[in-house]
Amino acid sequence: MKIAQGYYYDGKNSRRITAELHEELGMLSVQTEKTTLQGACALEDVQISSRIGNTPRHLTFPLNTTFECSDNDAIDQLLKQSNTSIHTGLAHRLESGKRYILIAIIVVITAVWGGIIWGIPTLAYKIAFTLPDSASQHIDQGVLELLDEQLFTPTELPVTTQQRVLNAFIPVSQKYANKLDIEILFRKGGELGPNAMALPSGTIIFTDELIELAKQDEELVAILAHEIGHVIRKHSLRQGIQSSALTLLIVTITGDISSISSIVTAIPLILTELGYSREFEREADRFAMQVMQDQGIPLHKFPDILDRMEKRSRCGDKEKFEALECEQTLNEAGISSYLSTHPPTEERRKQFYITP
Amino acid sequence: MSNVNTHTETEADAPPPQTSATATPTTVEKASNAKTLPFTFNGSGNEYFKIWIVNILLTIVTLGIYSAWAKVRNGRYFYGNTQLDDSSFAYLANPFTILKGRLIAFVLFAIFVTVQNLMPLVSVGLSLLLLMAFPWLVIRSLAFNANNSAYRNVRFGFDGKYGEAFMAILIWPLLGTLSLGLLMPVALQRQQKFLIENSRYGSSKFSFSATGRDYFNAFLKLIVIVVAGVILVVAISIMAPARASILIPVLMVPLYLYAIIYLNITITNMKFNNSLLAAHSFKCNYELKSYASLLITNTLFTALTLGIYIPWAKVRSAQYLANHLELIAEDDLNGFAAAEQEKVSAIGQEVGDIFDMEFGM
Repeated sequence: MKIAQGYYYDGKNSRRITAELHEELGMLSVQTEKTTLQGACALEDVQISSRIGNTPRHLTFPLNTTFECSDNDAIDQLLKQSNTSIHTGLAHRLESGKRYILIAIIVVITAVWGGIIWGIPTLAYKIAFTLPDSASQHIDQGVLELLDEQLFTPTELPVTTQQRVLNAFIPVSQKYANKLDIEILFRKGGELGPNAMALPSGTIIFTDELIELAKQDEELVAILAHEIGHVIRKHSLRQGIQSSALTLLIVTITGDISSISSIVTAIPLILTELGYSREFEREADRFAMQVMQDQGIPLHKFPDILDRMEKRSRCGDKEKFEALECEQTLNEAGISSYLSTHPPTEERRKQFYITP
Repeated sequence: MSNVNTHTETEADAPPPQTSATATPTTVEKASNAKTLPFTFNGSGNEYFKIWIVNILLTIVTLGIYSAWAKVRNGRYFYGNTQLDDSSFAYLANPFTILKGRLIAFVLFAIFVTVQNLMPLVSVGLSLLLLMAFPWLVIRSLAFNANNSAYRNVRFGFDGKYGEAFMAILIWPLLGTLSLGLLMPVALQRQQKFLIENSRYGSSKFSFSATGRDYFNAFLKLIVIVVAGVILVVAISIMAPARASILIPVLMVPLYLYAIIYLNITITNMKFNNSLLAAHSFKCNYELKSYASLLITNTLFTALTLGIYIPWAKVRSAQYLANHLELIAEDDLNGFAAAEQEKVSAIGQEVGDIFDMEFGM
């Protein structure tokens, strides 16, 4: 009985012969009007490619001769009739049902959303706090050398100022001395301006500009607490894990995206990572708040210095510092808040004022 | 992301290109047996969307295990829908092989990330090791892909050696960069030559006729435009610094887009139009206008739909390639002999994929 029309290839060369697929009593054969090209062969010994959309099927016989056939329905019929347990193709059944597709869309969107918002951060948290932290000791040295080379110049603060600030830090840094290896350094920030940063294993750098910008040492203690928050919550390690996991997730979704310009995948990747970064800042802020309460430092000291730092970075030198124009730009949070590594200062300030 | 075959899947299985550019009047139409055979792509975005979303669903549900099967299904969809002279291409990779490759790649990746975070100095050494292994990974990846691509039950193959790959993939691009882009066209030509001349269909080799000079001429226009653009930008920032922050992006974005589009078009056309498979040649005519509209709409819609448009974009790209590619066949294509089978593991391909090493083909 003829099942379908198609092409026969013998696998030794590319010669194509138009032929017919026949089935008798569970045996398949390929023949033309004149000759039999592939003798009868039991259905279960023939590899039949599973169905994908309407792409042609390939039947591979034991000696690697093949039959290519576009008549998908005929092949499906053949598989159905034969009671062999050859898979009808789970994937194709899912792909053909409207309801399954709808469910798939909902599940995928939920899973991706949930994975980004909750899954990846949680996973990174678990991993970061499982890893031993002794190994990360060497990191700081390398990073610091790099920063000194490219960004910083040696501090120009008078030794007395340095000593005064360090003394102010003692109550807080002593508190965490048994958990962390905190080392405070001063550097001239140059282009960086007033800023502070924490390296993964406890080196905390304050720029001269920041020290000069602070009106009271308590403001600097607040910043120190925030930076200790980054270290103690292992933010740099978690950031590393999260961005790796995120890359994996996006590769999974897009498959081989490369036919489309890769800028399409780069944008959501960057936006999500910035989101993660802002979340870390919030966590460090919460940590700082706690420390400040412990130390009896008024909470507004932190947003006070943040404001001044932001004004300086937005409005540049001291001349324009108090200008009205500058005040206005500060209120334009808008879309740029999605493009920033830190949450808007306004939001951070509110946090500190709301908390009793 | 997919390393080696950066463009569409179908492109990799239809590797042979041609020499229409050099068709001089002296080439006597011998026997006029030559037939122009168009490539066709029969897939549709709606159909592929379902396959794509089910792939992702099953990948999520199985915590990533299914991704190997998903890859095969994707490959089979694009190959199967690509036809030449009414026969379709076939993607034959075994999902278990891919899964094994992925697991190994994943373990290596985890080790790499851990080391990078905990021992940055060691990771410098590791990166160097990875760099040296890169040509090998590319070769394995190309060989795996080619061996699992077939047309008329005859498989493709790739026989590149490490030394050649090292030159084509690492050294030439480095020279291109060191010469401030001046040697980049030559680097591209060397890469294409490496990729094409090591490819075969059955036991028939592909050959590639373009020279470094041809590539240099083809990219001359682009180089001139980019240099002019850079000079313009510098001029603006000196003469009108106040407006520079607005003017420069307004100028640079179209220039950047134009450069990308011009690059893609020229690379694709040069690749196919200078390749031969035995006596058969290829004709590829990507055009600026239609390709630009394809690329821009694909990118725009994908961004606006947060990725949901990806399946349609991929189908449209495959369609575009098929619609602009023809084989000038000297006979009925019945005469290609199959080569001895060899098994190629998927490790190279998967390691390359996961470390996100792009390699333009």
